[in-house]
Amino acid sequence: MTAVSPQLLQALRHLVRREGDLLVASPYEVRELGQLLQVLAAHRAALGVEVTLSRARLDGVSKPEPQSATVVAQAGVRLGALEQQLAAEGLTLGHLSPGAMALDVAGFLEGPYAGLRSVEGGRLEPVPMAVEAMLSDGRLLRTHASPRSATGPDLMAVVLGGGGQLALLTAATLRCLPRHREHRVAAWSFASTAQALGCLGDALDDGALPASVRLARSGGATHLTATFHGEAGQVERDLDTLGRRAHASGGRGAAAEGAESWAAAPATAGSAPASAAVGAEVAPSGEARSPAPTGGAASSASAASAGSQASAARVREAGSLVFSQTLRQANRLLGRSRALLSQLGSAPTPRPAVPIAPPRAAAPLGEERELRWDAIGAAVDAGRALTLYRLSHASCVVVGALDGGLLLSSPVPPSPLQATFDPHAVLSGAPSP
Amino acid sequence: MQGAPLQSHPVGALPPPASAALAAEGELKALLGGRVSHAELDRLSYARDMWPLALLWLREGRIPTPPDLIVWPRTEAELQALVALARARKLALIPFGAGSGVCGGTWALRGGISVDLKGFDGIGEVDVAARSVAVGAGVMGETLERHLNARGWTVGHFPSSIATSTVGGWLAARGAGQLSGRYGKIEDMVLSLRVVLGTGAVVETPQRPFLGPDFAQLIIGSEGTLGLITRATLRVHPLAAHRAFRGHEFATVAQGLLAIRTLFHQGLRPAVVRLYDPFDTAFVGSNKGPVEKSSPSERGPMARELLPSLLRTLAPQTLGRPRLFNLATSLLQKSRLILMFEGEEARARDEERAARAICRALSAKDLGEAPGKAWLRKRYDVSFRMSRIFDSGAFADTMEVAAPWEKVLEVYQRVRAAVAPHAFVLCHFSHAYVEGCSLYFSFVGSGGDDAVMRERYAALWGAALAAAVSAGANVSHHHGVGVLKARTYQEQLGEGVHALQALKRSCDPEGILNPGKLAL
Repeated sequence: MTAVSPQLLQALRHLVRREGDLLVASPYEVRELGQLLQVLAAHRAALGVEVTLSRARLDGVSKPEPQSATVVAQAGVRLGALEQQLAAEGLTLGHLSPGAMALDVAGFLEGPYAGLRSVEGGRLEPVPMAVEAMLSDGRLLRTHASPRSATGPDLMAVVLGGGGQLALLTAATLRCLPRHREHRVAAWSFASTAQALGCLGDALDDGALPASVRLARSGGATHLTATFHGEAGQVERDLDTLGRRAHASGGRGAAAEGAESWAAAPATAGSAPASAAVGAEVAPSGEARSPAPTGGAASSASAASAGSQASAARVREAGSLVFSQTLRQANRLLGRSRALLSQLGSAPTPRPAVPIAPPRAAAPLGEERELRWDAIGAAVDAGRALTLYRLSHASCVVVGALDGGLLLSSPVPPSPLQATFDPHAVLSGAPSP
Repeated sequence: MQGAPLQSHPVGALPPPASAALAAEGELKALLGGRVSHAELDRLSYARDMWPLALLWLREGRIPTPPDLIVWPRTEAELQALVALARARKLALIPFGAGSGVCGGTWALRGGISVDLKGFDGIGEVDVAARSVAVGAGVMGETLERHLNARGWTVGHFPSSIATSTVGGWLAARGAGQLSGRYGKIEDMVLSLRVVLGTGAVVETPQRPFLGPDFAQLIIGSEGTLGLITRATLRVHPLAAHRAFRGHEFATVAQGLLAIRTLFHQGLRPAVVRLYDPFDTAFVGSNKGPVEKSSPSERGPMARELLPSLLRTLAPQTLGRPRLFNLATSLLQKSRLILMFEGEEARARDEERAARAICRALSAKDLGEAPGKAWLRKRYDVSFRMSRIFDSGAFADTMEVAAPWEKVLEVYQRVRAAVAPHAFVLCHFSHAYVEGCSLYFSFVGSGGDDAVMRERYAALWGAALAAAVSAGANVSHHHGVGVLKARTYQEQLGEGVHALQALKRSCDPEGILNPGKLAL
């Protein structure tokens, strides 16, 4: 923190408190945030320079609208806590990654996650339907809460991924989904990673929407384990779709070996990424699924075997996943594949070898990265075991020991729009979420 | 319509091109290889879009203010030179695609240079892994679809104007196609775009993953006020292997809306969802079982047979009093829903069956496949036949707004009530989402003479927009803002207009791009 003049300190006296070396402003209402920005502008001071902003006290949540399945949440609301509140109302935020669920609304929307969620067809859409954000002069941008608009530029986009540099999120109207209890896991093996990814791409095209997908290569095969949560009929359709596509891509149904550890339960509870591997318990499905309705003799045999081996397993939420096992396994893979790093599509910068040691809570293992499919394929072929979240044709959020892609805790770089949105540079010093 | 009064001119006596523009013509010709015109025919052609207000004027032999010059650039370098010249000489640049807008978005309100972008007509190879294709902004919609279909792909964007609109126009106005339930609106289809800003800078927006705001979403919908879009990388989908159709008839509009909401809440994504309100439904002949007619508001409607004869029959008694007619139609109740699922065959059939179960649970009458198939055949008719209504001495227009589910019925009822004194109102609900849907109102009105009609037209729009907004709708779902809705748009933006203005200052500091649109 830079030195703060006595005049500024005097002007801020009701707006900040001292925490160690820092002056922290933690407004409890939007108006107070406006006052803070005015004082900073008047003294040519900035957020993130003289004063650190916390929006933790902007933590109000509206009663959800059951018809549109939306809820208004203020910037400081933790997504994990919100998800629990929504559960009581029969709603969910949908398939978000554990790392995203650990953030608050502002962090999820303004940071590199940009508030995105995957939707049917391999597309992405912003979770917020509308935002309320404070401009640098204290004025409020409130976008209209309608499902889609043709009303000029989508001004929500100055907030999403903007790092709080163009406008500061104060609240958002979030699109939820009806919450359903159906959870299923299906596992398939493919001769090549390309086949596995081809199958996934086709299934996304068809409208399947997996909550997460585990990809790993071992024993000369690429193993794909997909988890589905949602309405029973939808989950059923998605499993059928994936089964048909897997079959067409040369996949074989596999007993969901290892699914105990890989099948992540719905990302509930605002746990930190590294500790967010919420437990899942896999029990053999009562009804064996027939993954491939058609096909030649040879393929029918594999389909039958797939069904009998319970390629799809009903997963119940539980709290007992052996996280250390995950760590060990991933660490092993990390060690094995470090030598192959340079083959990664996204060409990581060379760096000194890191000793393989049991990672601590904030180790890279739990970090989420955004990767394109070519990089995902290369990583799997290099021996990495990956979990994909927020799947889309454009990119996925990936957990696994990786260096490539975009680290989703990266700071947001300065925007060329700052000059007009924040002429007095009040926001531009704001630390990125 | 809103804001400063709009000027019109006799078609035979256009104002001469402004001297400032003419003075730049030589320099422009040098920059653009001669692709510059101030010919009267060109100025007439680029003076209007498909905003029905201009059709009313045309009937009186008048036309909106034409541009002073029209240019046909072909490269981004030419556009950059054009922007530099316009900045230096303080000339307005008005981007122009194919002119099918209905809100006056390409009108040269105070003259200037219309920039026809159809020269940006390249279509790249489909990137199969990324499911994307790079397309020039000037490519016509139908050309693009034919090109992709031949290779087994589709963009999934089918506006009724597909034969007379460009990719750039879709992006500029944030358009929607008829299959939005599955493929989304145009803003859902864009991975990246290239734009020449009003500063002269060429920007290509990043594709995921990237850090920072998605600049593409700030350009989409900007209606030419921030930059000239030259290219877009769009999502492509495999051409659907199968289509599953079903028509259902509900006892009331509310029941039909409940069915749509339930469909989307249960994870079903029909490509087409269209619920017709009772007036629309009544003309399809609900007692005759599956019929081969599409709904009137779909048919170029009202145009050929129904409305002209209706208007002729009822004209003396009711034309001046549409309230009576609207009252009569409020006695009708039944509401028809058309669904179309498409994609991989087994899944499309599964989804259609699941949808049928939902409709049956709401006591809908199953109308079979025929209504949906009939709709598909005639889905593009509407755009081409609108003018026949005008030929018959009446006027017609449409208003499409969107709202979250809890407000949809209120919007429907308030707009109907507000418009009732001015025109007949029909409505269908389409473009559904988990959180709401769009309402597509059609208005048909008449009046003693042209002056009365113009007055009635203006009153109708004022009342309709005010009612929609007061009930919680936005001002447009996919037609855009243009001139028509600029004032209501600005009112709805509130303090947010300062964000829009900051964006404008960043991208077009001199304000040369499409002045007067979007309230900028």
